[in-house]
Amino acid sequence: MVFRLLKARWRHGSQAVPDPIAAQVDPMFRGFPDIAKEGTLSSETVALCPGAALSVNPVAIDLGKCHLCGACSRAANSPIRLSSRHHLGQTKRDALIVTAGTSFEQYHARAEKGRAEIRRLFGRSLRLRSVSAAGCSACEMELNATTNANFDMLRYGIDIVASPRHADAVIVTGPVSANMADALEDTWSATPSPKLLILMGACAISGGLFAASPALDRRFLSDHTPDIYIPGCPPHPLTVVNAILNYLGRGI
Amino acid sequence: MILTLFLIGIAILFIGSALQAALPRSVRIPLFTVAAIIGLLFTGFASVQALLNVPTAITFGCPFPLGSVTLELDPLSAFFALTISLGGIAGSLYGAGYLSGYPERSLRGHLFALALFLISMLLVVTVRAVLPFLFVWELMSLSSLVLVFFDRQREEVRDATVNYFIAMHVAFALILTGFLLLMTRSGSGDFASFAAAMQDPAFAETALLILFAGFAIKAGFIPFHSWLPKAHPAAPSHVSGLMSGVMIKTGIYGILRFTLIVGVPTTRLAVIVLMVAVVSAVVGVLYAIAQHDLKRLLAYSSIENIGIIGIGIGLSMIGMRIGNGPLILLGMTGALIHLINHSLFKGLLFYGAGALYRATHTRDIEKLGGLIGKMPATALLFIVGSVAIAGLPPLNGFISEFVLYLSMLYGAPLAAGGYGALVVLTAGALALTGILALYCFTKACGIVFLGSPRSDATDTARDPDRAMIAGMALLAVAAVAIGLYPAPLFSVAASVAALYPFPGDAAAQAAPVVTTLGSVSRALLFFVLFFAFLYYIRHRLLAKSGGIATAATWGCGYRHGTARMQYTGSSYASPLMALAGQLLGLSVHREAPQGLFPARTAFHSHPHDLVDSYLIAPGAKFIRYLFSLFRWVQSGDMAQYILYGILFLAAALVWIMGGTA
Repeated sequence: MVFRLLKARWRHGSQAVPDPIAAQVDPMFRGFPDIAKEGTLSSETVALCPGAALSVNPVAIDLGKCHLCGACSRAANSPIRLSSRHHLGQTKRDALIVTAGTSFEQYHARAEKGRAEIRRLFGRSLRLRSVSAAGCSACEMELNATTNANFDMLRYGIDIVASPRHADAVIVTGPVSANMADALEDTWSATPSPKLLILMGACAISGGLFAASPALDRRFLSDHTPDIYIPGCPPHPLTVVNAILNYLGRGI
Repeated sequence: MILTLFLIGIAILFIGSALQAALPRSVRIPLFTVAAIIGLLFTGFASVQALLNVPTAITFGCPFPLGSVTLELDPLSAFFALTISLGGIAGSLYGAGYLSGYPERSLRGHLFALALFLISMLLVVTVRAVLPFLFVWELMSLSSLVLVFFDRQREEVRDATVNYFIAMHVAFALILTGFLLLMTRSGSGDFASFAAAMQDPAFAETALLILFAGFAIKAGFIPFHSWLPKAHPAAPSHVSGLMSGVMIKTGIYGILRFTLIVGVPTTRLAVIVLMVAVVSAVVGVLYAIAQHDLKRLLAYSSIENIGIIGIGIGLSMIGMRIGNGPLILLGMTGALIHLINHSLFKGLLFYGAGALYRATHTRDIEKLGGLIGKMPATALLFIVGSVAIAGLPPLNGFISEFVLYLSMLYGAPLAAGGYGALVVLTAGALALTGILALYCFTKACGIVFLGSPRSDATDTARDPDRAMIAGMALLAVAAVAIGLYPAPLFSVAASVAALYPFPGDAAAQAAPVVTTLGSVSRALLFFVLFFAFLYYIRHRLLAKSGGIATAATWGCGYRHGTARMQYTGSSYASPLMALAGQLLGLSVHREAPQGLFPARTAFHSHPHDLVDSYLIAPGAKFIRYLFSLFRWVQSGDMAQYILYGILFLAAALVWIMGGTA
């Protein structure tokens, strides 16, 4: 029994991503959108976007709404090409809007670091309380994956805990339905200060596909300022890990 | 001289209580309280003098049938008289406050009975002959019966009083039997003459076993305890505190007095005492954990503590049997220290329960909660009592259990074979009892004082008046003092223990323990100071960071939590009850939720006392059956009674005629 288990472990070998900060994802991954400088968007292309993330003048794509589905990049004569760059985390809502000609390096440089007190307190140990505010489980599964053997964000001292009383940050997934609004507010008030608010996924950042739904109650997000935005639908575990590490001053 | 002081104290108590009956209602409580405190200060002072100096005796003539009565304050008597005086002072002070809650009652008889109760207890431990002893023993039982009967409108109180009455008279009958048996050999009612009568070990064992059973009923050892968890909750709290803190100790006194007279007990007697004590300690605390009624919980906890005292006595008896110094000296000393400790913290806890009852009119802990905010003084004192009774440092309960552990640690290696194993097993049982007591009192304190109120019973709760707080504070201060500075009490208790047959020099054996206790006392003081330092640091850090933020209790995002969803006493006890519920006769009534949208669900658990269900109830049923066989004699039919008369006359005629012929 034990030997079979040990044998299986031996065969699995080491599955950990050796360096999640420097790691590159598969080239097939749809990540940061490169927009050609002189391109224009046709109304047909704009209509293709499920999340209404595209704007025509100026040509821009809002990663807070984008699902990275790639429909716009496959449209005829589209200036948009999705690269495989996955370091997408931001600290300001406006910074998520990628305009024509913005390079990945420019985009990445816009992401701010947390203030010194935050970096000192949480730089080596950060505990997250996850609230699935009507999420579809995709973000939740990816968030789960950040703690598995591959991505293993525990190596940086970041972990997910069971109670907001033990947490330093609340990480929200899903578009925040009216039924979850109170629970989210309670979780936030139960978390001791200083604390971070992290939004994970297009739904949490902007409401995503459900932005117009009457079942949402996003007042919590207008009352509190998020510290970290992690775009994607769902975000890659490495995107999550790097967004947090970058904020803590430990990223690339 | 010392005994004169003692008698003056008793006289002050008696005169004060007699005087209050003649005076108007408004001065009765103050007069009684002042008389009781002054009187008990006299008796307490006399007891301390007798403990420190030479024991004394006084004899004076009494009307028939008592003849001449001898009162004697030897160290053993003085130790108990001191316990009674201390407990009595706190009880009178607290009682003054507690009784002020009954302005409609005349209290004339109650206060008089209270004084008689205290006086009779003081006399029980000082008289030295069968007749006076039985007289004051019965006076003690009857006066406490009147005290228990205070709330006579409640059916529960009437039932408990009858139960108590019967139990005390079974005890009386057993003690009387034991005495008569001894008197057949000694030919005298003097306790001193019993020593010669008990030279025959088999005879002494029989007599002592009968006496032990009688005294065990008073002390509340399992399985003789049936009256105790009924009478304690039924009595008003100042009486419960006195009964549990002081009165049941007279049962222990009886056991100790006759052990002293017999000298070395037989092995069988020693093992029986130890076994009964171990069972009382472990089973008593298990029952205590199962209770929802705070005063019943405390009553079962008294059984547990009587068990701990009994463990000390049993170890000491075994020690005498095998000539094991540490077991005799430290076992007996531990028992005596625990005895006085228990009278302090159990009084305190019962008075706390009384304050809670006064404030909320319920004893059901499942209806309380969150009272630390509304009754801070009561909460603090109750928690001090709980820490003490759970045997935690730095309070007095730790000291007595520490001495008992020392006796076993030093004694076990010197005890041969089976005795050594017995001592080691006893140590295990004592450790189990200690941890379960902690369980029991975290339950009581946690449910009553923490959390949110579980019913509207706590709405108007507030701390009781000053007299009640003073009575409790007196006991708490004594408990802390003994906890931090145990050496003097140890020396006094060791001098009492030295009365028992001891191989070698008792004082020399006691000396290293005094040194140990000195270092324990320093360690505890350091512990207290260190804790105060940590508290100060915390205070400073919090002040620097801008204080404590408060937020609602985390309910996992659920907004409609009610006080009923809190952890209850039953849920806290549940893991243990799952293991021991069968043993304790715990009956569980469960209504599982039904269907997709369940409307109601219920859970109720009720602990039954197995001794009640399987011993007392069938016994009572059998006696009722036995007497029902003769019920036809009293039919209520006048013709039948006339027939009895005629038959009697005819029989008398025949007898007289026969006599003359």
